[in-house]
Amino acid sequence: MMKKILIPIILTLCLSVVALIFPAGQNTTSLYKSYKLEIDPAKPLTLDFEKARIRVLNWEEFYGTDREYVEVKVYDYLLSQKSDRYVDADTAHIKLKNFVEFKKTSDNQPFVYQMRPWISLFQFDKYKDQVVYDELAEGRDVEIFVPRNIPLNIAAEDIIAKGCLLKSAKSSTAYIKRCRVMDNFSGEGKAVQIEKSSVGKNAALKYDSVKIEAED
Amino acid sequence: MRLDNNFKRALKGLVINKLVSYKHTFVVYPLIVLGISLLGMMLTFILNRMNIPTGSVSGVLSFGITFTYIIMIILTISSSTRSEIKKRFVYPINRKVYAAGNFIILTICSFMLLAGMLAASMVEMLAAKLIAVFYPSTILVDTVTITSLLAGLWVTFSYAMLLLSVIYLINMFILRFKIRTAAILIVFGLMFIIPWWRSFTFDILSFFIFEQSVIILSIKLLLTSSIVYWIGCLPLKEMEVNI
Repeated sequence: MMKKILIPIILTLCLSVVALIFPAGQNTTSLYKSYKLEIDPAKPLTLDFEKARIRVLNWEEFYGTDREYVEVKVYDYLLSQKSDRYVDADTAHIKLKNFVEFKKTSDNQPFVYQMRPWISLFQFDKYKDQVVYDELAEGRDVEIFVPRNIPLNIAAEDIIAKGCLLKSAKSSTAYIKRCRVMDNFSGEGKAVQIEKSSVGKNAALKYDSVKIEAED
Repeated sequence: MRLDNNFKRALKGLVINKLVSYKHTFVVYPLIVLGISLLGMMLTFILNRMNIPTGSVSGVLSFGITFTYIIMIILTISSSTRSEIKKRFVYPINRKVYAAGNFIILTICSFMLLAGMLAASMVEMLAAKLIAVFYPSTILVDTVTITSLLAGLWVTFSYAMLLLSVIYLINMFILRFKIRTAAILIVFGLMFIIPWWRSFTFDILSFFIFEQSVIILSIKLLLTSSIVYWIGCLPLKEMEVNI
């Protein structure tokens, strides 16, 4: 009887040791590097991410409550050159460092697999980050969380903006949803799609293609 | 002393007999969960190779818990049916032996199933690492540590025991006092429209879900489940006489 009980226990232990020490290729504990940045709430914020496909969300859109700071998540698994810090920032201007080049061709698209401990550990603050699966942010290179009422000047290769206050946007394509596009907004690029957003007076939409869907 | 020996012998017989009848469960269900997980992994890999974007894959230790809880709830309900109890009450098994034996069986079953999930998660991890060897642009995001594995196993087990004790309690009272239990459950359900009852229920839940120490949480859960299980065994007293 004891033998029958011991065999699966020993097998499980051996398997665990092999699985834990087995060398894997690119092993990481997170898909992104996160930066929490203080900003000046009285000034418009400039987000300078010209080489990246970005998603900008207000805190409420994702977490239900607004916050006073900005968080930038750089998905560094898409970068060939690794570094300790990928952004330069002051209280009114956040930009990607010069060397940051994201992989763009589909051939380089890595296969991402996430392994997490027991989901029941979610209630403990010290394990919470280990348990949550990293979101792939709609295929973006960078994700930025901003306070709701900060006017934004955004420059990026491709923008998804949700629930933000927009002063200007410069990108190849832009998808704007539930945003407030300010008076005298200046937008530039190939295509823009605006959904469920309010568009202010004299907004200059200098795009080849403009698609606006009605506000809620 | 002789009585004690009889009790122990009867208890051992009951537990071993029941566990032997469940032995396939301990192997089959973790294998099913592992199969689903590996299938998910392979599908994600194939879609990735076809450049079709995919979301995060849920691993054994995420969805396996739900699976284990469902299996254990089914086992608990099936072990507290009238016919099952009738079958067990054969000399020398009396209600005390049955109550203690059933608790031990539920404890061992929960632990074995969760340990099976842990073994399955190790196979899953090994499979992901093998893919990484043959397909070098694989990124493994791995936050699993031995501490988190063991702490998670213990917490999940403790929650399972509380859940099973509550299910056992409800099932036993429904079995013995059908209409009265159903009426009480309906009244409790309707009382959720009263704010203080909602906040009282939330206070009871927060006693567990806001606890930040693994050890204290497991003590709270295991003590509560022992009390709840003991209350669930009260209807056995009259059932033994009736059967």
